Amino acid sequence: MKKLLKTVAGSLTATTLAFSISAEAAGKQTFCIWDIVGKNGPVYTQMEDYRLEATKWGADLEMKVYTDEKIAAEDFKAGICDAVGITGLRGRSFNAFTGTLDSIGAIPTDDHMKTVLQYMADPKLAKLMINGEYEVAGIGPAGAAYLFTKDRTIDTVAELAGKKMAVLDFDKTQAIMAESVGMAPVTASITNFGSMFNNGSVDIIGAPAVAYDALELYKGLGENGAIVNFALIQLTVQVIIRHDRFPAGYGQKSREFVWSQYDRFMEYINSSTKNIKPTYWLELPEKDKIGYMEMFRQSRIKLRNDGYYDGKMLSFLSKVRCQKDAALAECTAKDRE
Amino acid sequence: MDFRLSRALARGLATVVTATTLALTGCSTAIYKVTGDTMNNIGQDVMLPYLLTTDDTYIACASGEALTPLLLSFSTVTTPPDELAVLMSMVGGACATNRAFDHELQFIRHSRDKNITAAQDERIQSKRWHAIAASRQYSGYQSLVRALGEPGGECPMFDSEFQQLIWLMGAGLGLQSAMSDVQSNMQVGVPFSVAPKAERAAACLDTAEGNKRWWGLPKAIRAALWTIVPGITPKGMDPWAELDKARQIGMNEGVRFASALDALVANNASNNERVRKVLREHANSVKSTAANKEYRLVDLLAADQLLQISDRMWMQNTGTRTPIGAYGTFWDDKKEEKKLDQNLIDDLL
Repeated sequence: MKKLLKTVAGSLTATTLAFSISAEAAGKQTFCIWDIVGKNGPVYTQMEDYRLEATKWGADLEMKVYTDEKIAAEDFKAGICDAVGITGLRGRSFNAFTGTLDSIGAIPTDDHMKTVLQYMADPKLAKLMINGEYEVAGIGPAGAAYLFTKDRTIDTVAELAGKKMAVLDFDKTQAIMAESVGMAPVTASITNFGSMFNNGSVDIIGAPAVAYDALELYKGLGENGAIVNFALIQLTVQVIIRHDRFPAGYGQKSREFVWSQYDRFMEYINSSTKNIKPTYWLELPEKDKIGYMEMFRQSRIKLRNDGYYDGKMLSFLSKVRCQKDAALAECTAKDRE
Repeated sequence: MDFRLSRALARGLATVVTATTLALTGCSTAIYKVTGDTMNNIGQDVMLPYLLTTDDTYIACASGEALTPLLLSFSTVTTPPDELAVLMSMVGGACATNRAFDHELQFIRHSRDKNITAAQDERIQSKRWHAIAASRQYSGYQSLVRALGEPGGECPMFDSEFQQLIWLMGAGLGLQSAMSDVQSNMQVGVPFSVAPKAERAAACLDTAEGNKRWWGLPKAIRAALWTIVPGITPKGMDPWAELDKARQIGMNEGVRFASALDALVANNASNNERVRKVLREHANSVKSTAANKEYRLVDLLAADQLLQISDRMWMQNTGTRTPIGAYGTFWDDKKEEKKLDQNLIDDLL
C-alpha cells in the first residue's frame, strides 16, 4: 500500500512538473526575425512594436535577430523558433498560397498590393493562412523589386541575352525566369547579391528600393547604370507562426494588426524610393510594358504547372488586376490564370 | 634691509599697483563696452537670423537658455539688448513650457492608471515649470516695453522688419505669460491686462501687407484673443472665420504659427472638431509645403505646439503619445477601407 502511494505520489509530481513546464513553454514564445542589419535594422525595430502589441493577445515574445534569413527559416523549421519574420519568397515553403504573392509581375502597383493585403487580413480567409502546423500571422509590403542594370542601353528583352543575372539560391523561379530570356543565372544569396552587382560579378540584379542605400547599389550602377521603372515582383515580409504554440485567435489578431501598419511600411518604402538618384530611373514605353506583362503571365502559368506557384493565388491576383482594369487582354484570355 | 628703505619701497609699490589697477579698470570698462556692443550686434545681426533658419528646436531651446545670461550680462556695461532679449525669452519660455507639458502628459497617464499620488506629483512639477515659463515670458514682454514702449497704446514707428518681428513676438509673449501663469496657479502674478494689450499691439500690423509679411500672425493673434478676452471682438467680426484666413496665409507662406494659435484657442473652447481639423490640415500642409527657409524655426516651434496638442489628445484617449507617423490622424478614425468583394472571397474558399 505504502509502495502504491509512493508510486501515485511520484507520478502525480511528475505530471505536475510536466504541466508546469508546458504551461511555461506556452507562455513564452521565441520570435526569430531576419533583418540584414541586425537589431538596429528597420524590420527588427518595427517588430519591437509588434512584440508589445502581441502581449495584448496573450503572447510573450522573446525576440532573436538573424542577419542570415536562411538560418532563421531553418531554425523555425527545426522548432527552435515559435515564430519567424522572413520574406514571402522564403516563406513560400511554409505556405504556398501566400508565398505566391511574391510571384513575377502578378501585382503591378502599390495600389494592387494594398487591395490584395486587405483581403489577406480578412477573417473570412483565415483558413487559407494555415498550412499544417504553420500559420501566416501577418503580411507587410516590402516594396517592388526592380531590375538594376549596369548598362542603361539594355532596354529590351532581346538585349538581356547572355547577360549575367544574380538569382537567389532558394528561389528556383528566378533562375528559370532568367534562363527563359537567355540570361546566365548566377546563384547568390540575399547577403551577397548586392556586392556581386557592385563588384561586377553580375550585370543585372532584381532588388527593391530599400536595398539601394542599404547595399550601396549606386556603386554598381556607376555612371551608365539604370533602374527599370517596372515592378518585377512585389516583395513582402511575413510573420509565420507555429499556431499550436500560441493562444487561440492569435493569428487573426496579428494579421489585422500587421495590416493596420500598412501605411507605416509604405512610408518607409517611399522614403527609400525617394533617395534613389532620379537619373537612374529608366522608363519603358507603354506598348513594351504590355508585352512584358504578357510574358510574365506566361511565365507564371508555366511555373504554376511546374509546381512552383499556387494556382489559387494566381487566379485571385488575376481577378484583382481585372477588377482594377477590365480592359486588360488577360481578362478575356482563354488561358486565364 | 633698512627698515625706512623697505617702507618707502612698499609705499612706492602700493602706488604703482593702485595706479595700474585704476588704469586697467578704466580700460577694461571701455573694452567691456566695446565687447558688449559687438556681442549685441553679433547676436542680432548674425546669431539670431541664423538661429531662425535652423530646424532643431531642441538645440534652439538649449542655446536660448545657455546664451541668455551671457548676452544680457552686457546690459550692465552698455545699452541693454532689449530687442534681442525678447526673442531669447521666447525661446527660453518655450523650453520651460515643453517641460511643463512633459509632466502634464505623465499626469494624464497616471490619472488614467488611477495612480493618484504620482499624478498629483506630476501636476506639481508641471505647475513649477509653467511658473518658470511665465516668468521668462513676462520678462521678455517687459524687454519689449523697454525697447519699443508699452503695447496697447499708439503703434510705434518701426525702424526695421526686425522690430516688427519682435513687436509681434513680444506681444505674443505677453499673452503666453498670462496663460502660463494661470496654469501655474498664479505663482508669478502676471497681470491679465497684457492680453487686451497684446490684441491692440497685433492690430498695428494687421494689414494685408503685415499679414503677408508675418504669415497671418497679426490676424491670428487678434482673432485668438477675441475668443479668450470678453468684449474685445470688433462688431461684425467672426474670430473663427478670421482664424481660418490667418491659417491659410501661414500655410501658403510656410510659417504655420497661426495654425498653432488656432488649435490652442479651439482646444480652450473645447471645440474638438476644430482642433482635429486644424491638426489634419497642418499635417497635410507640412507634407505639401516646405517651411520658409528664413523662418524655419518659427514654423517648427509651431509644429511642436501642435504635436503637443495632438499628444495630449492621444494620451487622454489611448494612454500613449501620438504614434510615429500618425500625426494628423486620431485613434478613432474610421479606416477608409475598400469594401471587399464577396465573390472573390467565395472563389477562394
